[in-house]
Amino acid sequence: MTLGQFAVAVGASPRWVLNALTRLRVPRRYDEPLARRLALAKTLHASAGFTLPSAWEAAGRILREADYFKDWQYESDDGLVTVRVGLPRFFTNYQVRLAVAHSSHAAPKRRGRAPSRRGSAAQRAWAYGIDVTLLDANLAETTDVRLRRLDSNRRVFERPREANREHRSDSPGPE
Amino acid sequence: MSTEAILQALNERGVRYVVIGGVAAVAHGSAYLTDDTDICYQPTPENRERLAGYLADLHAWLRGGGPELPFVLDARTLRDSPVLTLVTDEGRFDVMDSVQGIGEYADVEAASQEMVVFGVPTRVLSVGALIASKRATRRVRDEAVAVELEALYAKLHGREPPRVKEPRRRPRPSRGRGRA
Repeated sequence: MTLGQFAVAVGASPRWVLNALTRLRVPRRYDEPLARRLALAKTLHASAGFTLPSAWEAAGRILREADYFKDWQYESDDGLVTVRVGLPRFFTNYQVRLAVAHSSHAAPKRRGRAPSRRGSAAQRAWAYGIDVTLLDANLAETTDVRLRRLDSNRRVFERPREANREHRSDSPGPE
Repeated sequence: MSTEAILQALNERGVRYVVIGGVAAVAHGSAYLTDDTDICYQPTPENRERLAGYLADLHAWLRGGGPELPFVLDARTLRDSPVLTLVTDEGRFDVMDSVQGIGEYADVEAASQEMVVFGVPTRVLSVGALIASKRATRRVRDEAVAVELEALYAKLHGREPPRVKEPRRRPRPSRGRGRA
């Protein structure tokens, strides 16, 4: 993960991440387990009023000991304070942010200026390598036909994927 | 895996949405082969409830998410997550409450047009708005789609597509020192 992706997964700005890692004296390695722990620490820090170092310690303990599918509850020795963390909700939000970090922020972006618009749109499409005659063929059909063909093509592409998934699930995992 | 099944179910449940992305492009006549169905939904509490109910019936799960971690898919998750990339019984399905380059749902709906799809009136993002959304991402893979959509726009409207002003990448305004 890059710092940008890591920060999206944590739900903070890159600057916050850098400052937090410095304050916690944690080496900068932008991987998923660290993002998970830092995201939980940030939640405890922001929502429950823990200081960041104690939130970091608590996050480590929760991730080690808790059942992720249940709420985690902590009660102080005198029973005066109880903290309940909705872990299913936390992991849902965390996974959504992680998916966004992996999809949107990982796709290569075009750098520099936008390409020039010399010539007509059709000429630019030809120059780009797009077969514009396909558009004429598509426009001669109804919307329903186009969408049904899309579904049919998707199924063709989905078959090898499914076969691959089945193959992976059949094969023994690493020892 | 069926676009028809998804759109019909959304309509039957009264979900207010606009079809965007590759499926919208194909509906207009693009030859683009897309892997997922994308919609932009109206972010009201009732609409989120209806959409969350449908996604639960489709056994939606976060793409890339493993079964070792919990995933709660309800109206609250939709509220807290502007974009959800899901895998469902009907294939890949992405839902979002705004579109880059267009804006919030109201802007998206204003930039859409009604098309009769599988016998049902459905709101589909217009070709001009699709070009704007693809250009706004600045992603390399969206460049080819934008170029094809511009050619499609010229064929449909008999004139060149308007030039889309891409957002300039400016340095982000400082938010202080990001004190942890």
